[in-house]
Amino acid sequence: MRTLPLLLLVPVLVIACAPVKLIENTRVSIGDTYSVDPQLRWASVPARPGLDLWTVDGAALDSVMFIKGVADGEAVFRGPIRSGAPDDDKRPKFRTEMTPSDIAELFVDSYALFRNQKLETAGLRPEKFGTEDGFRFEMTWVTPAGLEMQALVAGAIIKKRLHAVVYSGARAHYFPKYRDAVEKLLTSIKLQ
Amino acid sequence: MKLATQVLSLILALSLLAGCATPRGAPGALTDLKPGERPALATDEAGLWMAMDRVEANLKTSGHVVTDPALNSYVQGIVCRLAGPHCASIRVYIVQTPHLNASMAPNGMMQVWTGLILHADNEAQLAYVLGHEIGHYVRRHSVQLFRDVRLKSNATLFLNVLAGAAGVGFVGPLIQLAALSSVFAFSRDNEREADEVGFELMVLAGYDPHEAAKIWEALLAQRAATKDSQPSIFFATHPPTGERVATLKALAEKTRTAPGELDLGRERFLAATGPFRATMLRDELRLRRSAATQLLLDRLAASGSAPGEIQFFQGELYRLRGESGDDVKAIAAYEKAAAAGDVPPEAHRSLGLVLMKARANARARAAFFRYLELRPDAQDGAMIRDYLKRLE
Ligand SMILES: [Zn+2]
Repeated sequence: MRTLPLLLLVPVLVIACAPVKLIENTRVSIGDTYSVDPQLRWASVPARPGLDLWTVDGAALDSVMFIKGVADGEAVFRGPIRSGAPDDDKRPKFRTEMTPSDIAELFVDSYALFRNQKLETAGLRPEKFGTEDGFRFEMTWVTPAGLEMQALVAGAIIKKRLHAVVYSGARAHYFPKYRDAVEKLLTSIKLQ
Repeated sequence: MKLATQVLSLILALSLLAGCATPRGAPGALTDLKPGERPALATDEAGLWMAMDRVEANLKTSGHVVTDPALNSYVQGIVCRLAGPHCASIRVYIVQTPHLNASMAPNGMMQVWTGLILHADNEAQLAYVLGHEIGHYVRRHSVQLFRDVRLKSNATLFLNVLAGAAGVGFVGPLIQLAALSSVFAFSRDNEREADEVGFELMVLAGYDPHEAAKIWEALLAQRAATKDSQPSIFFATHPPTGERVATLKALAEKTRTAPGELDLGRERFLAATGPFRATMLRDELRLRRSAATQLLLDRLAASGSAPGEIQFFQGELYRLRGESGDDVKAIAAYEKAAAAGDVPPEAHRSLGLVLMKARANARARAAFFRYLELRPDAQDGAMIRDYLKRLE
């Protein structure tokens, strides 16, 4: 019972303390599905299975997360979350027949697993992901630490798998700081 | 990083306390807190208050607090009705989170989580839980506990928990309070005492005493349905046991009240919390614990208020659960909601989404058109218009 609070403190996206790697500012492949021009000097930090996580100032402040192909029936975030969070099999899951509206909801519910609050989405619209038909939306929330966050989500279902890029940052300062660069990164997506 | 600094100074404050050679006052020797009373400077109790003042400053500026003045003054009003002369010393913070909790810090900071408001049927039930928390405060249980813990030379537990919190870099009110409320797991005697005080206060304030056992019963059922998937902090520290329910039932039976005078405060409760019900239900649904949410929806539906809204959320539960046959159930619920009238425009969007999947294109189009008609500036309008094009 009394160890519960310490387990609550598992950081949101980072799992282990593996080394940080600088991303070269040349074309970078994301999995084997597409490639991007990074635009900034990102550092790659360790992340959950199926994700790549890049940051400039630290993953709690700003990050670009690449969700590299969630299969039908899989959760967006896999692996341990915190004490009391539902196991993988009880988490909200991606389905290939999902509409962009469903996917926006899937994101919100997946972020709620981390005890984020006041989750809202806005501006859901169709938008190309590379050459594929995709979607974009914005998301805001308050972290358990009380920090107000904002995110831009771009994604598409490619070969029955959900691919997405989530740029998120502290709303007051970090999110606006790299937004333009991330917009360019998104335009640079080229399917392989 | 400001938050981390705050926690570090909190730890410092507590370590100074823990380092004191002789504790002042023995456990059990505490008198009730008098209205407006503050602990004498340089006591361990003053240190505890100071630490809580910092947590409170942190909570106040965090994004978690519901700032709506009407809801805040409603809950503060219940506290005042219960706490009488202590009213001015208790500051209520309504925290937006679907988890069930209410807590009271020794310095007068009271937290009421929206999950608790959502699960109460009426003002009398909410008043009982608030009265229980006021009981912990007036009886100074946290000071007693703090001293007990120190006597058992476990003061490092406080410090370890807080130090662990500081290690993350960002530490906020929810984490701190989760940590603190598990440290502040009061003894069974203290819990029994708070139950009694809460009961006494609600009876003195004229509320129906039978509601005290009823909210525990509802929470008991809720916990059974939730199983272990989402254990709440409140349940960890306040086990809704059968014994608790039985004791309160017996107390209510013994209480002499004139018939017809008992106050449930149901109308006031619905008027004050109604505007937030949709937000609270949305937060509840995000936990994706459909069995527990179904129990809650059944209770809300039985209460008869806002039938359209409740039916809409019933539809949402089916749509999100997505088991076989749920699409048909969802459509039926949305249609029932629309017929009831008081339904949010989003019900038409949800109906459209389910119908689109069922390839009922014409009906899906009609539902999406209705949504855009009711929400001309819908945030997802561009996407909905794209669906409409695809459904042509
Ligand atoms: Zn208690």
